[in-house]
Amino acid sequence: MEGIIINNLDYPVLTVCAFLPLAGALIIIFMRRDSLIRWLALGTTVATLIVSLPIYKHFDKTTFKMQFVEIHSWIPAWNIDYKVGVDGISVLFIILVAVLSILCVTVSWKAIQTKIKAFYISLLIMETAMIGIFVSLNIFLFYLFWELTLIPMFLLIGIWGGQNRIYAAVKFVLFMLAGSVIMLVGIIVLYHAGGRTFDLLELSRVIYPAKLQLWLFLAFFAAFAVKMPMFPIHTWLPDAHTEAPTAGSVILAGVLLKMGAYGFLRFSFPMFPYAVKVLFIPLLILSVTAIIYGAYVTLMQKDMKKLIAYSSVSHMGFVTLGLFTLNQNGIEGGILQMINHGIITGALFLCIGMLYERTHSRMIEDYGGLSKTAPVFTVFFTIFTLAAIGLPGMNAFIGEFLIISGAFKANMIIAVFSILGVILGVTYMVWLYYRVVLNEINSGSQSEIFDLDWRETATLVPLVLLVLLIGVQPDLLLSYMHVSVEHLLEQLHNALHPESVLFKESVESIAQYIKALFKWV
Amino acid sequence: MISEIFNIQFFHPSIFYILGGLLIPVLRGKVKQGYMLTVSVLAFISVINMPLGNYGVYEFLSWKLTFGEVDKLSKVFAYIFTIMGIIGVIYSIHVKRDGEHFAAFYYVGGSLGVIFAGDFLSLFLFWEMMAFSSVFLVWFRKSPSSVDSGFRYLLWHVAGGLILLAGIILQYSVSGDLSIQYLPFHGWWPTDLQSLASYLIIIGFIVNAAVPPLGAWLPDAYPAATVTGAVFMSAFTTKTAVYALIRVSAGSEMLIILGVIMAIYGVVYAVLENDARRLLAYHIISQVGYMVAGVGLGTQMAINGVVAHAFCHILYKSLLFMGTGSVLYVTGTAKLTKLGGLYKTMPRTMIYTIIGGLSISAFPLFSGFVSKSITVAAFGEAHLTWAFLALMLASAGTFLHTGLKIPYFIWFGKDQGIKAKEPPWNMELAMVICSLFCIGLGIFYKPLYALLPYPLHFEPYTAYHTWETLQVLLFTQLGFFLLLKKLWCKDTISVDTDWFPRKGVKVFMRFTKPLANLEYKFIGEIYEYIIQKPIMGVAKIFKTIDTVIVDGAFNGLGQLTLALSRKMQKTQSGQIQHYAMLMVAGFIALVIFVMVLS
Amino acid sequence: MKLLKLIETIKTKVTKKLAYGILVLLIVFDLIIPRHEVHFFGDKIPGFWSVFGFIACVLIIIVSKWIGRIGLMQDENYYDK
Repeated sequence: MEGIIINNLDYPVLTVCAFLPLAGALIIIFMRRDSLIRWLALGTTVATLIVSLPIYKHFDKTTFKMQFVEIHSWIPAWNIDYKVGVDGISVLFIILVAVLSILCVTVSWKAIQTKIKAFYISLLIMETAMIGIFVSLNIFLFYLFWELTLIPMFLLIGIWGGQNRIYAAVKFVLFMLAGSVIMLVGIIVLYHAGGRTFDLLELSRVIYPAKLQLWLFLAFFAAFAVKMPMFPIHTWLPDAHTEAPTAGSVILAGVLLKMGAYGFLRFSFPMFPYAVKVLFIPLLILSVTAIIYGAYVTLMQKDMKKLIAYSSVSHMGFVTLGLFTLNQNGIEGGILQMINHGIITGALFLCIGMLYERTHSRMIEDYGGLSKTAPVFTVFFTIFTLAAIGLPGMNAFIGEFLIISGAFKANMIIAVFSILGVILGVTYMVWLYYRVVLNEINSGSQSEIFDLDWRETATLVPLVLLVLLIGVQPDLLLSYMHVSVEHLLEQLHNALHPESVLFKESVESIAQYIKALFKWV
Repeated sequence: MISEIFNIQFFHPSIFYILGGLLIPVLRGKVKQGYMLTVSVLAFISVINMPLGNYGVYEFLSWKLTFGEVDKLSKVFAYIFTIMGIIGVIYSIHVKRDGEHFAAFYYVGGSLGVIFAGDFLSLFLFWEMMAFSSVFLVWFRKSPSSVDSGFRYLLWHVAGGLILLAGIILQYSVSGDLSIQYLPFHGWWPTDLQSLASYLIIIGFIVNAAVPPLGAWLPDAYPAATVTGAVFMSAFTTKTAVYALIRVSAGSEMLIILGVIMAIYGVVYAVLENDARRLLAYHIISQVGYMVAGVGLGTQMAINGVVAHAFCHILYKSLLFMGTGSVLYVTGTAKLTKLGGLYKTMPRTMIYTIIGGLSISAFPLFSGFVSKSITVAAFGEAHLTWAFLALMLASAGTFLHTGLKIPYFIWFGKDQGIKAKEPPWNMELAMVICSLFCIGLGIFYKPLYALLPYPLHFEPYTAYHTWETLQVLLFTQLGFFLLLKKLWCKDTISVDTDWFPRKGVKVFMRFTKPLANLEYKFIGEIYEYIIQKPIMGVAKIFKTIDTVIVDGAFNGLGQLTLALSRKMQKTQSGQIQHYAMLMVAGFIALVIFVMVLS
Repeated sequence: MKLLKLIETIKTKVTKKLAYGILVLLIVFDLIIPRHEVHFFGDKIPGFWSVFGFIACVLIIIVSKWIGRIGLMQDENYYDK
């Protein structure tokens, strides 16, 4: 098959990467000692990171083809293969997942004291599912992993979460399921329309009829938009984030949200270009609305976690804005910003989690004057706040710059509104910073605040390094994306006016399928 | 000589401030003080040795960043910035809070970075660095109003910075070139994409230059800053903006008009002010107006005038801020209504402030005379009479407040019996240095002229010019004393264009309540209505099916069985003869049945 | 203190008379001074700048006070309401 490069490393790197956490989880089932479980979880996540490094060393940045591909026949009756691979768009997410997973393990070391076995098993299964999503080249496999993320997350929120955890967990699952079910319908239709295959690359090659593209786009949009989350179906996010334990919030904000955007890049753009072009302006408007609405609501928050949660709505609005500008700068900026947001928001949730561990309060009014009581923490928090603001020299600035230049090329007014979003972003972050770090010391909680220990410091240091490194040398990441994004844009622009070649056949096959369904009933 | 020792040609002075600042929190006491002074002196020395040319060029993504574009223009600004850095460090060396020093260092470092930036991206980097570090100089005053002022200051600067960024991005998409270059802009409104980019960049610079109506942050924040912080702030933000304007838009007529309006605007507002430092802040707007107008004029003489003016202005303005700052430090207030009669207790400070006031008014023998006059004369030479007259008018106003009003109401006037003494030695030393500069430059002005970017044939001390100036100034003084009664201050503040954002924010925040309702009650409730309620409703139906129908069915079946078995029970009498009869009857029935079948 | 004594002596009536004297001298000298750069009609008139300075000062004070009275001068706590 063309378009892929088979894996030629010594070992099936992507499969190992994806399933190593699962293996660790299986071992943990049989363990009893809590401390051993923690160390094994840490070891597994670190091993996953190490195993993933050869991917980056051997990645060919000059081609857009899928690399490190592994194919195994799975369910031949329905043309389902186990097929995994990465290209410039998906490769960076693997290391993001790996790094954040390690940090989730270390931050939960002391925070989680009940049902530790189940916690780390859930976390590891989660990691497997997430990596699986980014490397799957078969839609069936993709959907499997997509759904697999729901259960561990549900458990993470529902068991180890805050006061309102059951409500938040159920809400999370229901929202996700609603979207996924619609996507499932879309997948099945796609299967038939694309020639009875679930293979991603083959499906991308097909030029679907215009109307079908629109419906399929909307079907997939349902799932992706809920995940991002896009306005107005974002309401699960604040609840899920505030009630989840720190590790859950970090994974949720750091990775889960990106799955929706990745879905757009992997599915909607190559397969439904006509729909994307038709819905160009509404999608941009929706993105900008998310940016400004999210930022506005963030301003009012009194709960720190909710504040960062709503700011995620705003930041993901930026990401979608970048993606939907449909030009090189915007899309690269969007992908880069996904990584950046994962790092920065993950870091902010880690910081808040550390504070919560001490005072068990998420309310901003319970904090103040941390610059005096916890200076080391202040240094970290300052760096992450400045990064979130988009200060030049840190990672988010480049992403914002690229997205806004892409937006200018797409639509001037939208770009102007997005700049307003940046101003609001600066406002709420600086205000939060002031109230927590600079203000007068809050006498109520003062006794409980003590500075970071070495474990917590070690958790935050890698993120600081990443922030600064990417800020100064964004090319480290951008170089992976160039060719793949170019290719994506080609696919978009080529298939502008789809022929109705397959229209009759696809309609017939769908009709047959529905008839068969009715006969059976 | 030093470059031979170190074998380095170009050493960016910002590096001293940016890296040097990192060590401040670690050192203590006298060592820290000596260290800070050394850093600022080293930065100055690195400027002296700097050769002209382009240095520090790096490739970044697809852009070329230049960190060290050195020509006469950037060098002269670098000179005065580093000198001011030294003076500022001396003035603030007594401050205990490390954060203030840290902020000041990054502020100075940022300004030097802007001066030497050769492309817009590195300019923007340092621009933002300046904004975020200087806001701390306001916040560290720690009074509630200072905190609020600081927020507004930050937001104004962030907004201005983002407009600048938008312009930079647009410039990049239009021309693909990010190097700092002359972006001609004529008229008042952009006509095409390229001029829109230039327009946005110029507006970004204008915000930092405090041009009305976008300059309301200056009189809001500077009086709210710390005693030492205001000294730093008065020098750097606006002059960096002027430098940027020189580079990018010398010769835009729009700037002439804006500049002249600024000059008079500042002077008019200053008359109304009660807080001495707020008055000085409006004064900065007035003086910067001269500079902006000069940039707009764009002739070589005008640019020379702007640069010379900036050079001297930094010195005498900071001297004035130092003087009033000392009063604030010692007495706790800078409000003219509360001060008076301090000539008995703070005579030396009075002298320094008066020297500053005479300099700013361009009194002969002081630095302003040899610098401001160049700009005004440039307007005269260009025969722009209205601008020329307006600037002369503003000069009269300048002397009115800084030369007359402030000294009079603080040091003379009604004695309020305030306890005071001279400020600490370091503050006085800084003021002495500045005063010496002001007088020295006024007399020995040739070295200053040699630093200017273009050759200058201008002789300030012509008999005519001297006399003209003296006439204007001394008759202004006459007017001051005659109208003294009208100038008595009251406890008021003036309302500036920041009325719009300040009142506007209240309106903005009023939207948050309905928005919160929208978010929590409406959109959040959608989940309730669409998903939760139907699902619970369906669940209820199923439960009914379960309990009523299914369970009911089983229950019913069970009850039927029970009833049947009860009935059956009745047939069980428990006596053998009945069982035997039944068995016989059954057997006979079976036999008959089999016989019938076969 | 020498400085204070100096300031005290300046504050006397003698100084006022001296100041007025200087002003008069200024106008007188203006008639004699040679003029180089004549950019502007006022340069030719002797004593022009004196009048200009005085009127400028008065004008600024009057205009500013007027602007203040029509609404730009407010109570110190204006924004907090």
